[in-house]
Amino acid sequence: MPSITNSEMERVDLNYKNLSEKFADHPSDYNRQYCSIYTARLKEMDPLLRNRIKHKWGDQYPVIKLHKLSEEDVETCIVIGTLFKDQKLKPSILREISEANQLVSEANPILNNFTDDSDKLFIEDEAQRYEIEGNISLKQVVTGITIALLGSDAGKGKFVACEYLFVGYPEQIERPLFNDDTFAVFVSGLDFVHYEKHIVNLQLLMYWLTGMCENVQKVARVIIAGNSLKIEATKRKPTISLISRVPESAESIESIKLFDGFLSQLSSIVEVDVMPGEHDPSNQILPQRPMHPCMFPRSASYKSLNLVSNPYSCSLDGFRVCGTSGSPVQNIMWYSDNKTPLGALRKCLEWGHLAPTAPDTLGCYPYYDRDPFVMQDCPHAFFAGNQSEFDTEIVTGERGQTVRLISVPKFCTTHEVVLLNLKTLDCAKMAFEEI
Amino acid sequence: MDKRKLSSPRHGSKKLRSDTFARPPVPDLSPLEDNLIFQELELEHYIGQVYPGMPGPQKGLVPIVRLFGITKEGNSVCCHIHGFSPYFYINLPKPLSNTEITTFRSKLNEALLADSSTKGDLPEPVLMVEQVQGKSLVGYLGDEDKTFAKITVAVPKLVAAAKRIITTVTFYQPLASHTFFTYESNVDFETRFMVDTHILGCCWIELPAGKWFQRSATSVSRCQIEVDVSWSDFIVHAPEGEWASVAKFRVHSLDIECAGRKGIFPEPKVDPIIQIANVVKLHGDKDVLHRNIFTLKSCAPIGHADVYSFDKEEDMLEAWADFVRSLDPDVFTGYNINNFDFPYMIDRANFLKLKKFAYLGRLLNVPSLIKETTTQTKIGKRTYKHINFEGRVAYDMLIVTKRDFKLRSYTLNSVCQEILGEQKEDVHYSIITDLQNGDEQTRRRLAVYCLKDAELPLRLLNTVLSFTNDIEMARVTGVPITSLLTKGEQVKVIAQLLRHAKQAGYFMPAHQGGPTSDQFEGATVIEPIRGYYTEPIATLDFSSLYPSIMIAHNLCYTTLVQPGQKEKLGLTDDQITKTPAECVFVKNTVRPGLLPHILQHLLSARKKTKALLKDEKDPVVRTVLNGRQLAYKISANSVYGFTGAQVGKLPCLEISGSVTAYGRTMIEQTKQEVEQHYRKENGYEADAKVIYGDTDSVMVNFNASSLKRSMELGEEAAALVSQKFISPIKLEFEKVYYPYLLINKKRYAGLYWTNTEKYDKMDCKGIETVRRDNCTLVADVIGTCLQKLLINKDPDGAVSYVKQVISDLLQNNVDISQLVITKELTKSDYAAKQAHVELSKKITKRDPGNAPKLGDRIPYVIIASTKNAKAYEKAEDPIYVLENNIPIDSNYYLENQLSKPLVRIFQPILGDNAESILLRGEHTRSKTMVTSKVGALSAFTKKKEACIGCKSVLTKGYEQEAVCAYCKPKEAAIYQQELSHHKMLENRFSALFTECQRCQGSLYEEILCTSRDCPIFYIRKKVQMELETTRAKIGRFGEPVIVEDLF
Repeated sequence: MPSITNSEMERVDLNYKNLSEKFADHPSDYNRQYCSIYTARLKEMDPLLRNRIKHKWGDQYPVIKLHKLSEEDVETCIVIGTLFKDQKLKPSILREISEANQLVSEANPILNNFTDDSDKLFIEDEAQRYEIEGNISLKQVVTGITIALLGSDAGKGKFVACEYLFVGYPEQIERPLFNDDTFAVFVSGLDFVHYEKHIVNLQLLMYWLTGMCENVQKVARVIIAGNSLKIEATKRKPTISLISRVPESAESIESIKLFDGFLSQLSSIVEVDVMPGEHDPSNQILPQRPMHPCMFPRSASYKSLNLVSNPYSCSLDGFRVCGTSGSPVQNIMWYSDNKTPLGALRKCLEWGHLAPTAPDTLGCYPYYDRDPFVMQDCPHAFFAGNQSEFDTEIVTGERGQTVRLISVPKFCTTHEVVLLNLKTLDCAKMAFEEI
Repeated sequence: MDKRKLSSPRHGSKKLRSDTFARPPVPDLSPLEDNLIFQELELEHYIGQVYPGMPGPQKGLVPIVRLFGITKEGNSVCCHIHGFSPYFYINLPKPLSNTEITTFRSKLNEALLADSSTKGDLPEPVLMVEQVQGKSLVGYLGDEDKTFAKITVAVPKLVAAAKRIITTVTFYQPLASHTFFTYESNVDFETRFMVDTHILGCCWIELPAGKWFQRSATSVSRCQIEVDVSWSDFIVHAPEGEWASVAKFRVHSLDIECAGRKGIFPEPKVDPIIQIANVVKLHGDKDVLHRNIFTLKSCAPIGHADVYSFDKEEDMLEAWADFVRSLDPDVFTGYNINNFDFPYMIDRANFLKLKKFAYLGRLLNVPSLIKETTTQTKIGKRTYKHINFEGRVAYDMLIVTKRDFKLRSYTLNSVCQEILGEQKEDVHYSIITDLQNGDEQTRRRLAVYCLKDAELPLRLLNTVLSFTNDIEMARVTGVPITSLLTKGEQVKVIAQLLRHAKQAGYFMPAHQGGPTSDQFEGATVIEPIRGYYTEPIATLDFSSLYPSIMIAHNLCYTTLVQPGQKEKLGLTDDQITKTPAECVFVKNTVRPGLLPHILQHLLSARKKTKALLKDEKDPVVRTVLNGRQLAYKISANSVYGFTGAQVGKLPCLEISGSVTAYGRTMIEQTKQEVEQHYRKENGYEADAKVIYGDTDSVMVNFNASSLKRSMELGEEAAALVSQKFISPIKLEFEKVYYPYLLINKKRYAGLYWTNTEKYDKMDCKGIETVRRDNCTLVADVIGTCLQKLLINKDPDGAVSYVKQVISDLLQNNVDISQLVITKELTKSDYAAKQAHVELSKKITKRDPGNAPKLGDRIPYVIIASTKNAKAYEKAEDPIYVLENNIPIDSNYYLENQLSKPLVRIFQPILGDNAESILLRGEHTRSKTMVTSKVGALSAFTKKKEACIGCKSVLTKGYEQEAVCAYCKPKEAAIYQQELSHHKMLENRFSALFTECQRCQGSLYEEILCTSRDCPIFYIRKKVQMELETTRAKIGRFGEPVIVEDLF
């Protein structure tokens, strides 16, 4: 591993590997439906859960398929399935249509949480759906999680649960040892449409990265975690058709040129990973593909510019970084009582899934043979971009997995980036304010 | 833990365990010590052997009333009531001596015995002839009672025979010259019995200890308790106080699935029944009591329902009938059970020669049979099937919905959408057979679907509270609840009229004859002054106008003075009222009318109920009370209609004509009073103008400066004008329309205000929002326009919105679901060619397997075609249109669908220019041409790739590129435009498919639904197709790749 001693700008160079192949090749067949991804998810999760069940409860209780419940004559048993949370506040396109014709400006309060006391929880597998009653807090969970429940059949389609179990943190490879401090920088929400508002802060960031301050040569990589162009969708004027074409605004088309300029500057000095965010020019539903180089005529020629997918996972000398531009975490916060991004990230690890609410409330591709969002291994750093503020913590799994969780703030509102020391796992924010 | 199913499910035939749903056991009853109290549900009569010790004839066959009901504890009761005999009245010229009466009786008896229709099986047809004093219900003939004879006969069918003999044959010489009229001879036996015993529909009946006899070995019914009682020995409790409660009737909802052949409507002689879903609930309970499904062939277990599987259809049907008998429901419900599910099952069982199946009613020896009947109801004349289930009420929610709601469509899907606000999965019947032929999992899928179809009618019933309301209607009008669905409006009025007539000593003449040519003038309308009023328009309403007119002017059968009678009776001018229709009635001081009495009773009872409702907290009691007050209101209003119904039992055009005539003059008078009083010269800020008046309301433009002021003036005017009318006629100020769009007579829309803070609703009358033969685009556009006009008060916005829609339509930007027109295929050959019939022929040719069948609703869109094509040739299947990118005939939609309704609502705003502004402007210039994938020309056109930016054909060397050389510098921008559209589509894709997953209630099952009533069905398909296009387009820019070789 090269270390930097001379004063000349020379950066640490790490052995980089993009581990996002599984997000790259997705089916572009829109004639498929979403049922298969749930089947695939359950298939991948089932053996993991059974392991955990054995570990927790031994062979004390039989594991019974939901549709066999009413036949088997057992008191207490274990069932495995996917959670479905029935929420009346869940946005519905049917409601949207019927309200489209009722433009009564009775401003429906814009909700930032869709939970309600009337929410109901179900467990479902390939053949059966049961309502869950009993001792499981539905406030913390969302649709799409794979779960094992210990309890009993109460008849009339209800299962009384007394205990539950998730797959838990996936296996983690050992964290590599670094001799020197080595940093990865996370930034998100650059919002180039409103470039003029934070132009000074962006310049400060750039000065800093170009070596205006100490230690900076230890920055091995900058990860731009989405929403570089916009942080929110342009409001759609109501149209008579749900799918009529609405032209993209000139501003957002212009802003990508500015972003291209910024990137060309940045990639001349450091390795940069650019993830798309939900409002960036990539596809809409997860996984988002890397943004197209034709939009980056100036920067795309730099080898150090790395257009990557969202979610994104990579290895830096064996140090695993994984994360999203934030929408899965945001979605979990919307549909459950997990109030903080860190809380949601922690849950994702426990549930072993990057985006459990996809496809129910978060768009994703209609995968039919696998679920790429099932977490195969445990990252050393797990991040979510575009959060309202910086926050971080280290969590530890049952088998000693140690993970640094990072809530990456929106740069446009906080003017902050996040520095992660790969050697020490230390993590801090750095603000770029005018003095 | 309750483990119900123990046996192996492999062969399905699990034993039915009734302990989970059976009725509670019967407590030990002692007829000598216990009172038996139950709520009546159904009532009918039969002819049976005399029960010793009862009143009435002591030998031979007699009519016996059989009454079904349940006790508070939920036990079913069958009660035989003995000793009541049918009778009617005739007029006598003068009182007769006892000997004369005796002779009269025996002569009549002889005549009846000789009559061929009686066949002499009754030894004594005429039981009794008595002289009674009273008056005819129709016509005022002074206060003196006349003499009538009450003729009691042995059995009900003798009433008609006796009537015929009395009115046509001279059987009693002394009265040969007398013209006999019969009275109440057209009242059916059940009504007669209910009136005389004061039994109301769904009321509580108490049999006092010592008066009733319990049956055991001689039971003829499946009821838990079967008893005999004399007609004079029971107590009827008026439904008030504790007796207002409603017993927990068992409501059994069911749905069947048949394995049809492709393209043919299932026929009971060929296609088997494969599943029967059952959901049982106790009326008033929140939770379902029992759910199960009977399936042919194995079916994987279902969490919330018991599954009973059978290898043979015969076994399944017999087991199901056993289940019904042990469940012993009081009410059957479902969707279209009367015309489909039950007839199909009974026919199928007959075909399979099942002997026990049809015994579904409560009588041991009476099978349920299908009869076709024709009835006249509010919805018009219709023929439908009737099946007897003695003791059980068939309460078909389709019939209820059609009776109570005006909807675009009455499929279960659209009714659920309208009433429950949710979509319902719709599995096409061709898929049903496939699912049945699959494995136990696919049959389970079908079973879940079938159960849902049984569950929804129950939820509908509980949401619209129709059963609760009908119970109250039965109580208020005193008719059995069954007649509310099977009989028309008239029975309700007759029952009330008879009850009151009996008390007041009137006899109701048996009216004869069909419709007369007499016409009377209908309600009036003040010629509307059309316009879009942006100032508040106060509305003054006559509350219960027609009932109050009848009360105020004492209009009744009993007060009607026939022409010439006035002089004869020596009535003075101040004793009579001459109505504006030139009819004469005596005043209240001479004789209070019976109808006004009934109406007063109904109105004051309603007032009382409303007062109770106000203080009541218990939600269950509230629904009962609300149903009650509604019933009073409807009953009061139906009296007028009864007097005007020319084919009815007792029409009296003098009454109905006078009522409307009064109405007319009152509306006119109100207009004058208001316009005279509210003038600048009387100190008011502006002259008031009545801009429109209709049946019972007057719209006044006070030219008030504010909503508040308009309300004040409205209140004041109502009080002022009310003084001019006789009590109880009362003008009330109810609401202000602000703004108000007055299009024409009976066509208007306005924002409805009853307070100054917030409007109550948008009120539309006579405007195209529910017409069935329109596409939804019309309703949507009109609805949005009205909102813009009324809520946003933005006429310019409305106009520009219409322009936008028209331009979207011409540019093919409208969702196809909004253009779909649906018609039912009712018969295969129509005289004139019709679009949907021609289309169904086309579809049959294309895919015989999916051929539409009779009774199917055929959705279609009108496609662009050659210039001279007839409209019926241009109908096409929407899915076919989507798949093949066939252009829509946007002109048809503009001219034939949108134009008229739009011009109509915009005329008051834009004047006569409306049409040219809306339909001919600049916005109609741009049209999108679509190239069809099928059709004459498509074979000859060869598609060449064009530049995505400027659409020019790509030149040689550029074919593989996305854009041409000229557009290359703008490539990033062009790419983003395409991407932005693609993103939106992807977003829709995920929202649409997850919505359907939620609707079908499963994440793991493929969406099979083909509900064409669902607004997202076509969009779903369209999004998939569009995504393929945009994906290909975006693909032409080259695939972004992950760069990995960076070191």
